[in-house]
Amino acid sequence: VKPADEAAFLDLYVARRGPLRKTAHLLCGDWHHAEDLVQNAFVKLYVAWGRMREVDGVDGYLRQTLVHLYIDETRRRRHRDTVMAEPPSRPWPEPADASDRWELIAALRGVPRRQRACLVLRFYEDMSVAQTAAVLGCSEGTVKSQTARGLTALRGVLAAADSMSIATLGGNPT
Amino acid sequence: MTLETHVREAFEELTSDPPAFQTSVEDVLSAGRQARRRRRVRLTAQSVPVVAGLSVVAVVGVTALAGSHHGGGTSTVQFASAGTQHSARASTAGSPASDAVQRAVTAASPSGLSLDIQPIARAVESEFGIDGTANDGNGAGRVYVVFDPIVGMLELAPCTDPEFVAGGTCTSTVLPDGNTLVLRGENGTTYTQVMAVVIHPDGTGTTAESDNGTFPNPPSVHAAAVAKKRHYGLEHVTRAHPTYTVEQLGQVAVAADQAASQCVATNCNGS
Repeated sequence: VKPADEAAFLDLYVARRGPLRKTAHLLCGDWHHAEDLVQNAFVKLYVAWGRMREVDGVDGYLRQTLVHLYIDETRRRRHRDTVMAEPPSRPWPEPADASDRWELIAALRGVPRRQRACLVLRFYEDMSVAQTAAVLGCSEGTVKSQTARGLTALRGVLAAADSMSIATLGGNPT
Repeated sequence: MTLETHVREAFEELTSDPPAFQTSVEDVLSAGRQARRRRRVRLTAQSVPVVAGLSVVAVVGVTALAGSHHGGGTSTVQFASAGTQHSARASTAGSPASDAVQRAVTAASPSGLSLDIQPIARAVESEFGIDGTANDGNGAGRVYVVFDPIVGMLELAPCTDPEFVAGGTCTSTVLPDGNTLVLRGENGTTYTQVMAVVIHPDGTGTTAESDNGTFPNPPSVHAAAVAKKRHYGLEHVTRAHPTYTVEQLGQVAVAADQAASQCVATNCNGS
């Protein structure tokens, strides 16, 4: 943390940890796990603080770090997937009723991580395809295809569950 | 209603009732400090640097050193500060300590170098120093020198840390005053950097960095503006190699460290 002072870092942490945890929660499906991801992202930021020269860079760095921490958990075959096989501390809600939304929430669990990251960045963070590609470090075409696959997976799960009419579902990944 | 709309609404609902945070601000700071302590004076480096073994003669107050422990060619480097062009900004943002470092960096930098540096102070964990650019006529490159007064902050033997060395050359020389001067050669592929570190036995010390590029904007962090903007502050390569050679940077680090140490010892009353 070189040029800025610690107070600025703390201000940033207080301002951004909430929104980032929501994004992380959508990615991993567990609030505690999400909080761990956010904390790890901020720890990385703390170490890199001296190289962050503008607000835009800081926020982008945090978001990118968060997403990559989440995706890399699979690559590193760390414990989280195993843990997530058990009931998480506060998971996404069970589909307690027959509404389309709860079915969709349940369906999101089955979407692969990178596809889910695309969906979260595109439809929660409201990022463009280009912005999503920048965060994920991939091409715009990959974002489009991953998003399309994510939506297709949801559509497929939902159709299999017979809880939502495929005819009512659209979706333009771009 | 399209599937996209379903997804957006589901995302909003999923995040509408978050629980209280389990971790505190102090937890994050503590974890950050631990990570930084491990990784201090390390780059996100990738590639192959080129620096021979070294010994350095410091400019200020340090007499000639014995040869390098690594037995490489001995390169004695001395600079005259006269003729160095300085456009250091006023020290309004600094402190007596960072001002002292700024003066030392200016005096120890090679002749003919144009410096545009400013003091930094009240940085994390009480570190202080300077930040800015140095230009030898081939492009401005970032220069950064900081003193860490927190005991244990610096690795005592960073050359044994592969993350610090990152595939590059690293030499360590014990100075007459008992401190250790570590010179880490040019590192990186596109954006490159050399680094010199004076490490005190208690883990305090001075880190100096010289880059082959700059950052686009001066430091600016305002949390209120963070949420509105999303893009990255990228480094700009401005020259083939860092402005300072690692030997030159070693002289700067030693001079800055002496100034900072003296300032700390006297509560900066003597600077």
